[in-house]
Amino acid sequence: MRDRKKIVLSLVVAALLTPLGLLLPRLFRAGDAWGEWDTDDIARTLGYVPDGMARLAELWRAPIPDYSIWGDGSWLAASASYFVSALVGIILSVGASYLVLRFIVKRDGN
Amino acid sequence: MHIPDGYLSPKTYIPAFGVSLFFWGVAMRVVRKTLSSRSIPYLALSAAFSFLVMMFNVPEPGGTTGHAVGGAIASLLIGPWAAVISISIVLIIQALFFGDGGITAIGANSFNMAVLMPFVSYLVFKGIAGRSREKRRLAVAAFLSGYVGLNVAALCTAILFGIQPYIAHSPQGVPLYAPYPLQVAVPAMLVPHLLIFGVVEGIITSLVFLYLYSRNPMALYVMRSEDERP
Repeated sequence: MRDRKKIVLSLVVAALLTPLGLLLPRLFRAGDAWGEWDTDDIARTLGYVPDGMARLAELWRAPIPDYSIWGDGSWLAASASYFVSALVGIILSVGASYLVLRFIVKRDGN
Repeated sequence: MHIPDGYLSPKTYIPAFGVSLFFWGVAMRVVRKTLSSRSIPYLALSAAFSFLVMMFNVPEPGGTTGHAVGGAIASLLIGPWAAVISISIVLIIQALFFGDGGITAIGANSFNMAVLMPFVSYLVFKGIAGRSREKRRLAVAAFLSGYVGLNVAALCTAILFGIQPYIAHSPQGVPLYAPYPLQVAVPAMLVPHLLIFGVVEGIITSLVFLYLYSRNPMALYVMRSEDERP
């Protein structure tokens, strides 16, 4: 990879654009992805929360749940959260890939 | 398409972990044999790309949201087995750090998006492009590779949701996990993917493919014949 600077720059630009993925659904009044509702939504639509679901739903607390860091509900806070999440995601994806692949792939002296 | 915790019964998510573990194992062996350390940056970039693509939620106006996965272009660029590893890494990060997809569902989500999708996408591309080097045909092949790949993944996800009421319910018949049966889950998942999200995956696959192809066709795994691969 010769043009490392260009790649890093395009990743940051792409991260800057990700809030569109948050704002467009709001603009078009689209709800959650199908089958990805939280238990409050399930209780509202079904009238109950299935037993097994209630048991497993809160199994794991993610450090940045739903890509949201600053959750005051404003679109600015949501967009900033989303952008920072994108940067964190890029760093984790690249870092984990190197970690895993260094372990799998044999070195060819290059 | 990220199944959260609580939607799949252990009867589903435990075998799904088994299936994905099997594919991860094979993928590691294949990648160790076929890839050199020079290809690591491609795999890392394709993981970052896939992470970013999945953040771009696309609305179905007034309905649900969905997104492309980047699994098709990953498969064409680094090969289906490397894509298995690359997309699985992304899905695990999404589940652990962002709560996007459940940790009990990592096996199922990996099977749908990181195993099924890359292989379907790869086969569709190969089937349509053949040995052709004609740009228009390659563009169509790349589009359909993304379109079909995402839709097959969505269908499998819908089936996993939809079988839950049959296989996991209380003695009174009340669902214990995902509550909607197949006849609800399949159309609800598939229609927006067929109409919108699959098209988005197809366009992304086609555009990125053409860009990479114009720069250096041999950088694309799918364009190298068997003997040219390292």
